[in-house]
Parts: sequence; structure tokens; C-alpha cells
Amino acid sequence: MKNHAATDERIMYQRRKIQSRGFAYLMLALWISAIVQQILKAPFMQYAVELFLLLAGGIYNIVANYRLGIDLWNAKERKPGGILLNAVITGGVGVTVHALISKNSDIAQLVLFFVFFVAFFFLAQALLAKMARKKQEAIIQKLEEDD
Amino acid sequence: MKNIKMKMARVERDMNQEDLAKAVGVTRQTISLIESGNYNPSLNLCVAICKALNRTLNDLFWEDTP
Repeated sequence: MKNHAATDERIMYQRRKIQSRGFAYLMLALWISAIVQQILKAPFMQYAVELFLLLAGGIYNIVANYRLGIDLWNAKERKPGGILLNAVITGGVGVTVHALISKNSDIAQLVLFFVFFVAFFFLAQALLAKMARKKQEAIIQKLEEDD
Repeated sequence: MKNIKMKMARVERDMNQEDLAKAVGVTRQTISLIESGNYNPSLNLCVAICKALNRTLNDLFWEDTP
């Protein structure tokens, strides 16, 4: 007898939703685990796997959305000024959290960390926005050709 | 909103929910949810239901204007 549950669009949709939620919860659990271990001053090697998996999950999300042509970044509207502001705010929050967790009060080190973080974050975001814009342009061009 | 037309068409064809579910390759629960208006089927499933009940999309899924 054929299993209709395997082909039922509603069940497949619900299953995907469950898996998607599972992925999100797993990412959240990895993030909490890494943060808690940092607070407890565990050596980096102890929570390195969590961090790498978190990073891999994020990269997978970005690449999968990009390949399908989903504009996660609202690429057309994004301006370099907005990306820089985003990087500065994220860098500020990141450095503050780092200083609080590690109880690091070395200003020179924190400033260096902030500058490096902002530069890296800005370049990565600018690159992703540019790639997304190109992809969107290619999609629009293809749609116009088909039209 | 309940899909009374679909339920009536099914009954007229002397089919129960299980029969229709088998004919279109879904579970009985999905048919029940469509009829009770708690699930919006895809266009593909709408077409499959119409074929199984020998009706058009208009007959089953288009609301009559008052």
C-alpha cells in the first residue's frame, strides 16, 4: 500500500517547517553553549567545535539563499554608508560583550579588536551585498529575456 | 472558510474522504482540512482534486460573488 504521507504536500511542508525550526534551535543551542563556555573561561579548544559548526551553519544559510536567488540583504537598497554603520554598531556591541565576558580592560587591545572587527565585517558585508546585487541583476536580466 | 462545494462534489461522486485522498495521493487529514477551510492546497493539488471529482477549478475553488 502506498504511503500517502510521503507525498502529501501539507505533510511535506510541515516536515520542512519542523526541520527548519530544528536547525534554528540547534544553532541557538550552539551559540548559547559557546557563550556559556566563554563566560566560564573554558579553553578555546573546548568550544571550538561549537563555534565552527555555528560558522558553518551561517555560511550554509547564506550560500543556500544566494544560490536560490533569495535577496537576503536587500542588495539594491543597501548603500556603503549603511553597511559601515551596521559594522560600527555590531563592532561596538561585540567589543563591549567581549570586554564584559573576558573582563579585558586593555583599551589599546579593545580598540584594535574593534577596528579589525569593523574592517572585516564591513568588507565581508560589502562583498556579500555586491555579489547579491550581481545575482539579482542576472535574475532580472533572465526574466526580461524570457518575457 | 469551509469548502462546501468540494464536500458536495465528493459526496455526489459517492466518495468518502479516504477515497479522494487515495485518488489524489494525500492523506485523509489533508482532505478534511481543505474541506473545513483549515488548509490552502497548492494549485497542483486543486487540479488533482478537480480531476478526481470531474469538476473545474471554478466549480470547487472559486467563491460566488454575492
